[in-house]
Formats: sequence, C-alpha cells, structure tokens
Amino acid sequence: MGPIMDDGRPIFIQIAEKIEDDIIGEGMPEETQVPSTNQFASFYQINPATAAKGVNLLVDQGILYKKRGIGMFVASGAREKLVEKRKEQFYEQYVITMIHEAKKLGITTDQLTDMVRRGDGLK
Amino acid sequence: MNPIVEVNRLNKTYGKDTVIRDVSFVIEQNKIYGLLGRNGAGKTTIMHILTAQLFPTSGDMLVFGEKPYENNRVLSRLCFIKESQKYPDSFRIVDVLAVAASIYPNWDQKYALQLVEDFRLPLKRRMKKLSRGMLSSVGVIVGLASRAPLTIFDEPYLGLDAVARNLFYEKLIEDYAEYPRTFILSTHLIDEVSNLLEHVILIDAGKILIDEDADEIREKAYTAVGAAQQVNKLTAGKKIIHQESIGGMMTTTVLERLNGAQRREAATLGIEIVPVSLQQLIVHLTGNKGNGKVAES
Amino acid sequence: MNRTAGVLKMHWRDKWVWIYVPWVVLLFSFAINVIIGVLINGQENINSGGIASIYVYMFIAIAIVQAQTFPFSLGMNIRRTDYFIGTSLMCLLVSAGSSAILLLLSVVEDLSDGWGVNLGYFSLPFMSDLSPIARYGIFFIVMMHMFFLGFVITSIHRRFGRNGLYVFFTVMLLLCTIGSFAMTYYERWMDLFIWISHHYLGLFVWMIPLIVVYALLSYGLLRRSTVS
Repeated sequence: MGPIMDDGRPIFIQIAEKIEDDIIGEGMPEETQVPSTNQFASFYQINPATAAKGVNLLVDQGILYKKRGIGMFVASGAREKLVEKRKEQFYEQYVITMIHEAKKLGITTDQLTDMVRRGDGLK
Repeated sequence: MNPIVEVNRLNKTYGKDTVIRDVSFVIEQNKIYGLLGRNGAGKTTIMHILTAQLFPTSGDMLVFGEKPYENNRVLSRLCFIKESQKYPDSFRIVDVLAVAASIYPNWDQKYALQLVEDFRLPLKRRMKKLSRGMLSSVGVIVGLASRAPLTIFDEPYLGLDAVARNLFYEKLIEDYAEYPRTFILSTHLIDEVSNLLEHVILIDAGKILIDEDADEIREKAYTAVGAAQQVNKLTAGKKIIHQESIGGMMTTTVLERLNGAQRREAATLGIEIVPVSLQQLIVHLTGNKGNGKVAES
Repeated sequence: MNRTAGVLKMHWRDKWVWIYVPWVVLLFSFAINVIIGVLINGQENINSGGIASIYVYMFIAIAIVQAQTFPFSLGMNIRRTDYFIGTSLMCLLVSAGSSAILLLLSVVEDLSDGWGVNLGYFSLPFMSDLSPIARYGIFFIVMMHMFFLGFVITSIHRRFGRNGLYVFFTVMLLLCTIGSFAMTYYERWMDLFIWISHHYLGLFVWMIPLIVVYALLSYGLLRRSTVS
C-alpha cells in the first residue's frame, strides 16, 4: 500500500500538501515535471479524480503549470511562494499552540525564549 | 453531470418486511462510488434491482437512460460481481473466463490471464473446489477484465487476504486510470476503500443516510478532545453523534463543519480537534446509538 | 455480440452433462442387454426398453442444468430471453444429434438381426414398418418432449420455489386421480387402450403442440424469475 493518508481530512488537500512538501524540500526542483495524476493515484492508492483535484489546487495557486501535451511542471518561484505561505501557517499552527500550552504549564515568555534557544542549539 | 443511473423512490418489500425504503440516487459517469452500510442494510438488494435480477416493489430506475429489465442495450454494458455468485458444478476457472469472454463486449482476455497470474489462481481447477478467497479473486478478475462501462462489485474481497486485497485496489486504480469507467463498490470494510472513493452513498436499514462526495464527508464532522467542561462549552447546542468520557476528559464527535472561528475558540479552550475518518463517521451514524439522519443537510 | 450464442457456448462447455454421460448411461445399459443376450444365446427375443434410460436421463439433466446455469447466466448479466433461447437451442441440437445416432444404431440393429443375439434395443417393436424419417422423428420428438417437460418443471421451481412445485404436483395428482376415477366409473379404459393401439403414432404427433406449450410456459415463468 502507498503511504498512508489521514482519512479524516479531504484527500485532495493532503495530496496538494505532499506536493508542496516535496517542492519545499527540493525533491521537485522548479521547472521539473511533476508525476501524472495517475501516478499519484496508484502511488498513494487514491482515486485519480481526487489526485487531479489536488494537483489543480496547486495550478490555481500558480505553484504548478501545465505544458500542453507534456504534463505538469513546477513553476519558477514556486518554492519561495510556498515558503512564505508556510511561514504564515507556522505562526498559527505552532506558535499559538505552543504559547497556549506554555501558559497552561506556567512557563513565562522568558523561559519560553530560553527553551527555543536551547532547542536551536541542538542539531 | 452525466448520470448513467437514475433511481427514483425505489421500494422493495417482502411480505411485511420493507428492505428498501424510498431510495433515490444518481450515479454519474466515470466515477468510483462507494455503496456503504452495515450488513443487511439493503446494499445487495439495490444492486440486484439495478441489474434487473430482482424486481422492485415500486419506483422507477433508468440505467444508461433505459429500463434495464430484459434490455441488452443496458445489460451488455453492465458487469455485476456478487459475493453470492453461483457457478455450474463442472465449471473450472478457464470455463468461467471463456464464457465471460463471449458475453462481455469489451472483454480483454490478455488482461484477464495476466490477472490470473497476479492472483496466482489455478486455471484448471473447478470452481467448486476453490477456497472462498479464490472465488472472490475470480469475481475480481471477471469484473476488471470485462471493462464494462458500469462495473459493480458487491463485497468483492470476502476471504481475500491483505495482500490480495491490496492487489485488487492497485489493479482497480491502474485500470480505471487507463480505461475510465464507473465503478460501484459495495462493502462494509470502509477504511480500506475510503481513499479510492470519489462519492459515497450510505445506506442504513433500507434508507439513504448520506449521498455526498467523499471529501465533503470528511469535513462534515470533527471530534473535540479535552476537559469535559471545556468540550461541553464548545459543543453546546450542536448535533452530537458520539460522546465518551473518562475521568475529567471527554471526546465528543459533532456533526458539523468546523470553521476558523471555532478552531480558534477550541485552541483557547485547550481543546484538541481531531478529524473523523469516514469509517468512524459511518460507525457513529449507523451504530445503534446513532440517531442522525443527515441526507437533507 | 450475440448473447444467445454466449449461452449456447456456455452449455457447450459442459459436454459431460449434455453428451458424454447420457451415452455412457445408454451404452452401459445396452452392454448389459447384449451380455444377457449372449448368455441366453439369443434363444429368446429380448425387448428391453432400455433405450428409455437416455430419455429419463435428459429429463433429469435439464433440471440440473437449469438449476445451475440460470443463476450463473443472470449473474453474468444475460437476459432471461437469451438464456431461454440459447438453452432451447442446445436442447434442439442435442436432440437432433442424439436422434441421428439412435437412428443409425436402430438400423444397424435391424440389419444385424438384433446384434446377432435377437436383441431389440434401439429399434422398438412398432418401428419395423416405419421409414427412417419417421423413426428419426419419433426419437427426436420424444427427446424434445422430455427436455421441455423437465424445463417447465424446473421453471416452476425457479419461479415459485419448492412450494410452487408442491402445489403443481398436488394439482396434477388430483387431476389424474379424478381422471382415472372417471374412466373407471364410465368404463372407458378399454376404449382408451383400443384407441391408443390404433393411433399410437398420433401420440407422437400430439407431443409437438405439448412441447410448444411447455416451452411457452417455461419462457413465461423464467421471464418473471429472479436470483439473489
């Protein structure tokens, strides 16, 4: 079986995220061809229509673009765009949650920044 | 929108027993459908009626725009693989494939033989002597190699082990990508197929509970996990389909789409939001405690 | 593709039931008769009636075939009509072929003075003055009759289940009882036997409309039959 999807969230969004991860991690450099929706479908064992929906989501955002008769490619500037988007999400997803948890445990902002520094010291 | 099946207010009764109650739905071309529900919910009966093997008590239905009963224009485009399929005693696997080859217009014999190898079936063995899993594999092969524009699988993997089931999913996606057509998968093993499905029809006690795109359904509900007090605050007045608590902790599943404001509220209340899988949702909706009818929403 | 041909092909794959077994049964019974003939040295004229075995077999065979192939065919999304026509054609072909062999054997029997042992097996007593065509006709019509009699009875079972069959046989039994009672009461048995002895060839001709009635009934019943 292909890598397991989280069944509770729309699959097409998860597919889009996986492609995004791959672009950010430079597994898919800009101006290279992206696997076809059918390849995605059989790799992740999902419905091809769903895979296409995920890919189209990225086309709409200008991350991927279509070369007629050849397939999908990573747009230039896509990585930068994604990194910017993820930075915004980072605040919402991680920082806010972290601060909530810290408050619950009575960790002060100073202690928190110390912890972040200490964590950064790790490899 | 390109409907190939239109069912309108179908009913089926046996004496006093109503097995199918006012069922209406549409199947669109080239999608993979899941007909889900517990055993005995009426899935098999619906499929038998669709293929004119059983007669409805009342209601209309069109398949490929026509009535299916004794209609070769419809029946020749159908392939219905059922778990209860009977075979003549003397038939071996080769015989079944040969008959299928002469009956299904789009039959691909080379593909069928390839699948026989993939599933490691003994071609010359009699159907009577096959194990439950092998019987299911023969059904899977006939269904896939028929390349019928509407292929219906009813509990296709009874007795199949995990490897063979995976092989089935893999082949199904592969062949569907290459030869797009409409599939209806009926099953109660929801977790395994949920990623394959584009659209889900959920049947419970002869009625339709859900008829929606699979991805829509995934966003239909969420589970809130946290301190009971806080969870109750978040879910007050909402449609709760499942609730469990242990100590001061509580998990509550709510049948509602979660919006951004609620997500932030949950975060401030220290509540964790967990997505609900298709399987879990269906268990909650069709379980004995389930009380939700959501078809109208 | 013509799906009636598909049904025919399906039956054709089961050569054991349709072709091999009936002839094994018949030839086995024939062999026993020949052995008896040899043992008693052909001193007596044996008229065994063993040929009936193939006819009884066909009656049973069609019941088994229908019980197994009808659900299979419907499961393969074949029309009931195509199943009926294909199966009827198969009965016709088997009857035609079997009758040809029976005719051949009956002619050989006549020419060989009952296989050298005075055995009347394939050539029935009343057939001696009949033309080969008439003999063939009798073999053929009786076999078709057995097929469709079996066909209609299994179709009743298919359509109305076991209870339907009970009702059918109860009604038949009642009719026969009433009929024979009436015959006895009005003292008509002798008349009947005399009539039959003069018109026995007519009986075979009368089987033709009977076959048609069985066929129509079977078709009507199958049209309303379901499988699950």
